[in-house]
Amino acid sequence: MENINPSKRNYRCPWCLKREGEVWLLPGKNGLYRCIRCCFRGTIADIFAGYEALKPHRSLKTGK
Amino acid sequence: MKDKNLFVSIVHVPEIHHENGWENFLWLQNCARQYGAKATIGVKKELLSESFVVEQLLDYRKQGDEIALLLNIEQNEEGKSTIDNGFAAYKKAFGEYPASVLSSRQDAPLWKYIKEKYPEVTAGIGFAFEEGDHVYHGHQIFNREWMDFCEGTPWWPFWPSAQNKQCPGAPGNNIEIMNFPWLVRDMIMSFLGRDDFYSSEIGDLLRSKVIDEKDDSYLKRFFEAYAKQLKYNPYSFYLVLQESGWLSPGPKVFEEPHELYKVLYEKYFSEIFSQYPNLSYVTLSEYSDWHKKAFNMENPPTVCVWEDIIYDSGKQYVWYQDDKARLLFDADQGASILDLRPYIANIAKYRGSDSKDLWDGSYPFLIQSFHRCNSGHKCELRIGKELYRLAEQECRLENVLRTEESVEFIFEPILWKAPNAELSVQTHYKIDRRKDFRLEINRIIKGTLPQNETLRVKEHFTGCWGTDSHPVSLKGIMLSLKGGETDENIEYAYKARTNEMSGASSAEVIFPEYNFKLSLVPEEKCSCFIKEGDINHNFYELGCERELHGKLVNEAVKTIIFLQPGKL
Repeated sequence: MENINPSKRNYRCPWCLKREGEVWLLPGKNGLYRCIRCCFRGTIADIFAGYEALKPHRSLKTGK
Repeated sequence: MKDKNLFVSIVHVPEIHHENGWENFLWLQNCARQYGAKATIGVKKELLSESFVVEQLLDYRKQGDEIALLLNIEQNEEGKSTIDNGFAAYKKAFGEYPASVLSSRQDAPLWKYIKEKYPEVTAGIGFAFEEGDHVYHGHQIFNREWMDFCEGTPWWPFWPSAQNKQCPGAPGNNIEIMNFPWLVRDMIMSFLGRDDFYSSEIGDLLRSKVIDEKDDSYLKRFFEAYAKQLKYNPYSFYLVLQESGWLSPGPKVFEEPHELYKVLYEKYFSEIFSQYPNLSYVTLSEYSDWHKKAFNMENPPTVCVWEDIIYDSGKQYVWYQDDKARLLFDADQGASILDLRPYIANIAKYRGSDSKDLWDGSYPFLIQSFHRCNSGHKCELRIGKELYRLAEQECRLENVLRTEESVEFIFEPILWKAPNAELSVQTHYKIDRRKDFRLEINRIIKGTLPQNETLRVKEHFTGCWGTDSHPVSLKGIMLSLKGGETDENIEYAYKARTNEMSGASSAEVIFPEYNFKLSLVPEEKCSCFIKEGDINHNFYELGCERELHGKLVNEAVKTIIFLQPGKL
């Protein structure tokens, strides 16, 4: 990850994280963050919604 | 042949052991025929003993279809007798030998054998673009691992090297059987993930859920993306291979209703291909003949400019390939190089039980930014303590210029608002086809620097070696700095050594085992460096740094990457 300027290291890509990959997001055009690896583009709200969906106790309804 | 050169090859494979397999094959054939398309039919030897099959195929042949022999055999000595048996059965059934084969598991030795013994063969389906690691890790539904490793190939048909079927051959050293892809692929998603999830086959798209009953628009965008390649190439090629088993109601690997399969397949013809009046349907051998007539036995330079067609994110990959190298530029990372395969080294390998490479048919990389996330060729700018990495900036391809001798890629300028200066940096790549492999990198810089300030422009090549995500030893490669009174050399031994030379003429890496070298050559002598990695950092680094002052009016900072085979 040394290619990313430390001052810009804010968030990790929620899509890559879903595939157990940790990739930094960079600020892109129109206020959207962009993943340098995959096609993710999103606002801070999109990023956090992506993180939330990853949390196991929220994403799996076991009925217990 | 139509002058527009937008080619579509339809390949149908009858699979009669599936429920309604034969009926579904007939349906596929009728579907294509109804819309005026011809097909190549891949038939297994076992089916040739069935008289109803042979009778039907003879009828199709009369109507203009081509009957190819499907050979699913492994690479070894016994493979030759299996080939002979297959060809004998084919001749018995049809009175002549086939012009094309479907044989993705056979590599150069058996293809050479086929060509020598059966010179009628001019075409074969023999690889799957970027099939490898991602499929291996993800494909767990057929109760076995999917061990087909052939990453690093071109994406369109090519004349293969006599030493390696996955590598395009130079004129005079290739096998005269045009190597076709099993399917054509999404040129972003097949690099990011699984090539088999994003292909021209309906079943693959249903498996990945990129299309479904409600939304199949990706299929249309996928074909359009290939048709658009006519803007950058003298032709465009699309291939759909359909095995009839996928249409069966039985066990399947997607959750949509199986009837949907036929609806979508028909849409290909009725709603997609029909929109292109100049499109030409070709059989495999017809395309091979056209290619030979158009380019002789050469593998012409091929360009693919691919936008993200799934999410419409604006991500853009630019691919280049000829018989000397394959390159990938990422516009999203400031036009950095994300993948580099040195075809010019013509590394001999083949898969099979009698090969040292066994399953690994992938062509090695010098850069592969996902298997080795730190690798790439990137540019950095610095004014004082301010650092600006082009790889962190977005840009888009502005233009592609092609001549007989060169191919140029011009990217949009990137604007750097530094504290005391505003600079525009435009990347311009030029591949000179007259030389071994010569990639000229121009950073065209405009703007005015503050007095007494220096702009440092660093070209930084971080290289590696391998065919998959696991590191391989770099021991024995040689890093070298040239241009001083004596050369500075490091023989790679994982000691994390660095050498710098001011006034150097080049930084090089030499692969003695494969007898080729890569050189990074600045236009004028400047400060260059070489870096060895340690045991946890399996890379080598080459770089050069230039200094600029004052007013910059289209100041072109030129660096050349050479790939040279032979005596080193």
